[in-house]
Amino acid sequence: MTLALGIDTGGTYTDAVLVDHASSDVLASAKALTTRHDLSIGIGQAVAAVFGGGDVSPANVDLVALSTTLATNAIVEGQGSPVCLLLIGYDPALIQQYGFERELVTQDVVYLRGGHDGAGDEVEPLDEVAAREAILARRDQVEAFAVSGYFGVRNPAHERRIKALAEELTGLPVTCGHDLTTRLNSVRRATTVALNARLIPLLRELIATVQRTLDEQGITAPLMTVKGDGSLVRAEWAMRRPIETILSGPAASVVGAWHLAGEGDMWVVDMGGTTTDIAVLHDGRPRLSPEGARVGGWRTMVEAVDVHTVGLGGDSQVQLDGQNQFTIGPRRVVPLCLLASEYPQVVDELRRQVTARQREGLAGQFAMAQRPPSGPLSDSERALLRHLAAGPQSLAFLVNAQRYGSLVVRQIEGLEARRLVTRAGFTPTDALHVLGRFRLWDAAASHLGAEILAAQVGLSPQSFCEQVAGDVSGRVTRELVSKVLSDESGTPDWEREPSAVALLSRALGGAPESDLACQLTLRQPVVAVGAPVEAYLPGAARQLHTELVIPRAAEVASAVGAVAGSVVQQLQVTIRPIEAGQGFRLHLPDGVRDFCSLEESVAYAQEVVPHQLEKLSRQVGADQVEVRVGRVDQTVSVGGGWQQEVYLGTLLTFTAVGRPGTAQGTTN
Amino acid sequence: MADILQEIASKLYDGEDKEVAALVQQALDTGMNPGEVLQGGLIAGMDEVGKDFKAGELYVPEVLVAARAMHAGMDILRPLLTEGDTPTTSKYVIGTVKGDLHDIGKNLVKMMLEGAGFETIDLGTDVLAEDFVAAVREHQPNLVGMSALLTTTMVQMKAAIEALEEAGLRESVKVMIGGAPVTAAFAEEIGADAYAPDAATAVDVARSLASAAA
Repeated sequence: MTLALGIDTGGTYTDAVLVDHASSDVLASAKALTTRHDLSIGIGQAVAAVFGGGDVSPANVDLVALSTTLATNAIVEGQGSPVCLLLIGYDPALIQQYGFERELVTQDVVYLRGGHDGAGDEVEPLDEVAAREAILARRDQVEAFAVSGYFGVRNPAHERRIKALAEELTGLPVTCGHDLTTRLNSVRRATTVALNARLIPLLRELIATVQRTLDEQGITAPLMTVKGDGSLVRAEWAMRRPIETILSGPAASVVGAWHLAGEGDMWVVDMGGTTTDIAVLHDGRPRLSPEGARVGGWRTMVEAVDVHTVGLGGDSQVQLDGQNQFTIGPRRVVPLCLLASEYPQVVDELRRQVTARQREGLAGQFAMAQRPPSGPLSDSERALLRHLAAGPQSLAFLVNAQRYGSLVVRQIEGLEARRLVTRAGFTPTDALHVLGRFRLWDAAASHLGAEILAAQVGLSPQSFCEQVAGDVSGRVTRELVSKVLSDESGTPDWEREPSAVALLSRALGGAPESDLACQLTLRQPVVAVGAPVEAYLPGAARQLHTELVIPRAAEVASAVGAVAGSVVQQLQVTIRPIEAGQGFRLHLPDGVRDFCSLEESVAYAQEVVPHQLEKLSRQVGADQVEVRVGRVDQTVSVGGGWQQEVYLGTLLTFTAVGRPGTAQGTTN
Repeated sequence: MADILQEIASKLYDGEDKEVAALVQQALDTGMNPGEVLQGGLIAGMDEVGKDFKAGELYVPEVLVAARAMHAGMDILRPLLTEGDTPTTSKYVIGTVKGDLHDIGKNLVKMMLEGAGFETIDLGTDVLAEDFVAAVREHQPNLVGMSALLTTTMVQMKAAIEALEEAGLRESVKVMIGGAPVTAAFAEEIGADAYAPDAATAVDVARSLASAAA
């Protein structure tokens, strides 16, 4: 049996699973809290725990696959190392005119003369002298270089030359635009390579520490990482193209759900503590976002899983707004029941708050220190942290204890952003404890929290909790509908379209006195994974009149998906007609080549590219590689009565699929 | 008051350029607002021309002559119109693509668009992909229109769209294309936003693209 270890670092938890690689049967699983400041700690804990049962020895593991949120988090939080972005043939005046400098990620941008046109012909010779000067000047100041050439995806010659130069002069990692994509839009390519370069040192460090952690456990199997499209690559390779690991967590979860549910086409809803991710699979492959993944406000060109993320999860904070309505999320907090199970004094404080009148907005909330204070702190921040040194305190207490108490909430938010403080409050998890559907932690705290909030909206605690749970289901339904529609046609603007709001409300059981009923049916089954799904997804599936599948081991779908992924490498090669009938130009990853006839160029590509791709796949960690070719000829009929066709070009897509190589040598 | 506007529209339809100019001046002399004269007289007239042209009741020479009458009226109004009078500040860059010298269709579209209140910038014929990009940068239009009449030059529309894409500017404009060999399928294949089979339809398409973007 091939034994695989899957590891997934999610926003809240890090999961580890041991899986029979051939059958995807889960043999053991374990969870640990994700340690954001150093992911390898949580990983180490989860891995140690998964072997806790004792039936499996770490030395028997044949394959390790890791999906990590490191790249996504780092981009969202603006982390990364100093890098230099070398732009060839870009017009700085254009960049300035449209304010594109913001998209360039780094301040250190060098404009070099050179570049090509849309056909791949050189527009200006490359200024190697200036390039050499710029690279040498930064040799000791940056940790990586990013290179992007104007129309570099039509002819990579200049990018390759600069890459060779930078490697020769500095030995630092260099990323090129044409390596990451074949698509147009020079600005977004620049964003993508610059982000990639910034991530390289971070991912390298993570891989090194994870590798050490695995060695310490006695695991000698090769380490693979999950890419944002759900496929696997060797960790050393991922270190060169870390940007391709963004959204690997959601991708792994979608692939994992498919493997556990065994269905064909399906919609996957992955609900965690913080967010709910929605994606769709066709033929077992996740739908990729055609526009390129958006992360942290950046528009990249990475084709990653098309996931719709909603700030709603099992631990989303339930808050009351000014109009006695409650909102759920997007902020995630520690559930009151969980807090109380570790700090019983919380229950007393809640009991006190039930009887004493509390200021709205402060009731039922606590703050606690997350890690030892670090970084610059103001006096009042220091004072706040001192209060929290002994344990969690209620917000009400903190407001009373400080001068200018009304500023306390803002200060706490600032400390939360710096991950020095965590908040605790009423969550859907607490609602489930009150309703008796969940019995993990201290339900007394949940009951008291419910009493406090329910009183403010004039409901009984029971009704309040039922509404909270129903609201979560209802929102999942709405988001699913929204995603299906936006994939198929534009995005509907629910708030602005009164008819859509009216119909959807009727479909979700609202307006029972209306003469018009509405029923929505989702034609594909919904597969739900993630810890809280048992509680909320049945309601959503009922509202959409579709089958719900919650696979066994659903809580660790991401980790299962990590090891279930195949190694998939794709190369897209285009052939374009040369002007005035002078032949055909083949655009290969390493350069352009002209031919007299279309079939000659196709034949050449089919001879040369599969070898390259197979070699690449093996380098990336695949065994038993199979290369397939897809050909699309773009020809259009001419109008005006001419019986003619215009040839625009041919797209050849080479796809190599293989199993990840294991320590055993060959699988099966 | 409304009668004189109807008179202007009617004379415009008939292509009576001198009479249109005289009536426009007369309307202004009675204290009418230039914007009102533009909308109620000139644009109303051109709209009718466009409608009948689409229906096949008017032919190209009659449209050209009506457009000339419109210009006669516009020459008097233009210096008097302020920002607030013009219905939309929609700018339209138009040109015939690289290697193609045909311009009758393009000119017709341009005139119909002006009649509909668009500000047009005509790049002429044999316009390179880079020139379209430069024009977008200089004039910041909402719309770009491309014309081609040869099967050998249609592909240049794709090159121009790709040039806008590479510059990062594709999303800042809506692109529409036309010309005898061009079809809606071709427009979709090359990533254009719209296609129009004739000048009058071009105005409708341009209007809907401009308001969708708003």
